[in-house]
Amino acid sequence: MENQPKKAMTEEERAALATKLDKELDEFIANLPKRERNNEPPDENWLEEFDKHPFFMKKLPEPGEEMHPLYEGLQQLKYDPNENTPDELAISYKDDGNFNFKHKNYRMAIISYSEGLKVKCGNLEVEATLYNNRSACHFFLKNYRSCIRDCEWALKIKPEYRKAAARAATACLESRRYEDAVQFAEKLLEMKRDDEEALDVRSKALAFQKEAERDARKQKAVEKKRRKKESELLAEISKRNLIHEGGLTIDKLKPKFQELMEFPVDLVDGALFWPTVFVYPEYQFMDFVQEFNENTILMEQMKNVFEVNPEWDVAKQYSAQNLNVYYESKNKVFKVDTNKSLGEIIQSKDFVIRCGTLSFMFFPRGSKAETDFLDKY
Amino acid sequence: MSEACKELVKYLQLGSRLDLKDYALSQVLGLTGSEEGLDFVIDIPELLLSLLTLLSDTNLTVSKESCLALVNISAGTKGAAALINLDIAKYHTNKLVHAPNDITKTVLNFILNKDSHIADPCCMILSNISRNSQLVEKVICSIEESEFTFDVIINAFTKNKYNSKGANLHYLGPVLSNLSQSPTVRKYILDKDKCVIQRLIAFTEYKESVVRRGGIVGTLKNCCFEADYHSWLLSDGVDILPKLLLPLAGNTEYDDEDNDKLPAELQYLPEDKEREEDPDIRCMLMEAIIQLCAAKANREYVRDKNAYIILRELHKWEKDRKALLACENLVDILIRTEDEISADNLKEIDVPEDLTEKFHKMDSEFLTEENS
Repeated sequence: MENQPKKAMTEEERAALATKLDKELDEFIANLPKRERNNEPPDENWLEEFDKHPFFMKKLPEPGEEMHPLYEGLQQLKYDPNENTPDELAISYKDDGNFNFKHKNYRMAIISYSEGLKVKCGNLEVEATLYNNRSACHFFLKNYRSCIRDCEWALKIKPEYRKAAARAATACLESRRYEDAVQFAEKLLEMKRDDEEALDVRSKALAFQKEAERDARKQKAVEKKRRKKESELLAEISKRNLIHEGGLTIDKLKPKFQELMEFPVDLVDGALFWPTVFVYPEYQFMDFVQEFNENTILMEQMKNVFEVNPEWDVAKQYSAQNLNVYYESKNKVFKVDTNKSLGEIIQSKDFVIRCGTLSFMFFPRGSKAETDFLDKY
Repeated sequence: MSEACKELVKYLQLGSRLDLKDYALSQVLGLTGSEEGLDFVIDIPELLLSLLTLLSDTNLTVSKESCLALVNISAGTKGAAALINLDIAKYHTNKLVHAPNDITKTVLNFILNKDSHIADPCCMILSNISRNSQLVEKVICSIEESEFTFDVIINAFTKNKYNSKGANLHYLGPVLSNLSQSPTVRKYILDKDKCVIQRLIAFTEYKESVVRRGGIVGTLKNCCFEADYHSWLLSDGVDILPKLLLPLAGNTEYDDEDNDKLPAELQYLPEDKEREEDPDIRCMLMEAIIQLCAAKANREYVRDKNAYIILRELHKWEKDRKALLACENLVDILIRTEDEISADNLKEIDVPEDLTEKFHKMDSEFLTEENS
């Protein structure tokens, strides 16, 4: 070869070379076998088809929806008992369940796990895991009873299943089954002496249990006291031989007037305090004496009540000394001696107590209202 | 060993004819019923060894009877010592069978066997041999050498119906109480990372067995001598105080102010609440609380929990002299103010010898008084 120094390309030569190469490339491409071009525009529903394809679908098909044949095929492959051993099937369902669980679709997960258990694959590890995982779903759905039941199944299969025992303990705590919570915690401690979580659950459960038991005892004690007070009250009333319409029970003694509802007859230091109504038929008004001591003289109480003239008393007739007092009983009317104590007055065998309330009618002495009233009887 | 004895021992072997074995065994059992008989039996190591071996006999009557014989033998210190110090290697001559394990390991084996028929009497044997404070360390050593941990023993004790043949293992209570004489065992029970003492304190109100209850309370009392653990014992981690007070409480109704200070477990006790019926157990409960009151902070804690009112009511009811004394001692500590006590830790006070003597004398006079 001659050792000739290379000549530098001129601009023209470079341009010519470039054009030549371009042309060769075009020719090459043109000579490639042609592919049939579909010149029609894409199917209007191509997006729909796209979404249905099992590789591209964004959501699971709803039951009843038309399934892509490929999807059906895949399903059959996955779930066909002929194509899979029981173990594989069960694990398939387990994986489904786990997938749903991860995405917090707890109910779907439960279905998957249940299907897996229905297979009865006989593989203890798998079955225990299925129960355990299902129990976790129930836990998050707050179905504590189902959760605990599944944990117990898991533990029956695998007695050393710490996760299941731990979940059962917490579920018991949440659902206030304190004794069972302690049992599960102690089972955990048998497996692992210094299990902190178990120690914690145990002491919490015991603390709650102590309080719950104390509250129950307190309830009982309060109840007992109440009943004792009631029977003492009834005893005192019957001791006085009082007549009460409808019989003598705590229920019947409840006052019907709204103003007196909070003040049923009460026993304090051996004295009865009665809810009493002062009725003024002339003006259709009533006064309520909530706690009328049976030992108080009626006149004294009247002086109290009529200390200030009531506003409706336009004629200024209602003052203690000016009033006659009556009570109605068995379609008869009886005049009251206001110098007697309340207790003495109601002890009369003519006086009938209604709804644990005493009722008296007041008229100005010699008034027309009084006469009209007495004429009725 | 006399000829007669040699004959006896010959029949008391695993392979011996059953009727002869039975007969010989019932003779030995009869012997252990009397003082002289016991002395006789205890002095024959070969006899003790054969009894130990026969525990493993497949015939139920044989194993039961040898177990009962050993219960009787181990009841006294002499017998217990003889059993513990038995030189098995020396006296085991039958080369056809394995030498039995020492008494501790042997009975422990049966106790922890869920299907054993002799679990309960074996608990009694263990309780007997661990009672003496000189011998208990040997028992503990043997347990530590064995394949069994204290964990397993506690588990068996606290589990309901551990044994399938109806044994209730109540005597493991006194076993624990005896073992807790040793600081090692106490440290194990008081391990803060485990859940041992917490499970034991639940049994202070165990109505079904005074043996179990007494054993537990004894254990707790011993543990309360570990002053370093007092704060923890009184804290929520263990919360021992209500469990110690509950058996001492009656059905008294307190006014709201007093009631609210009490721990929840002691509030609103039902009308039929009964106190612990065994005065010794009552004593131990109070002694445990007295121990817990050593340091000032803990004294104040116990005072704040209104333990005083429980003991006040107990004092009105208590008839046993020893328990009354314990009650008064405890009330004394609770009722005085901190200024009067003026000592941070009651255990650190040096009591002069003559005063100690004087106090002991006063105590014993009180205990032997006819009138209250």
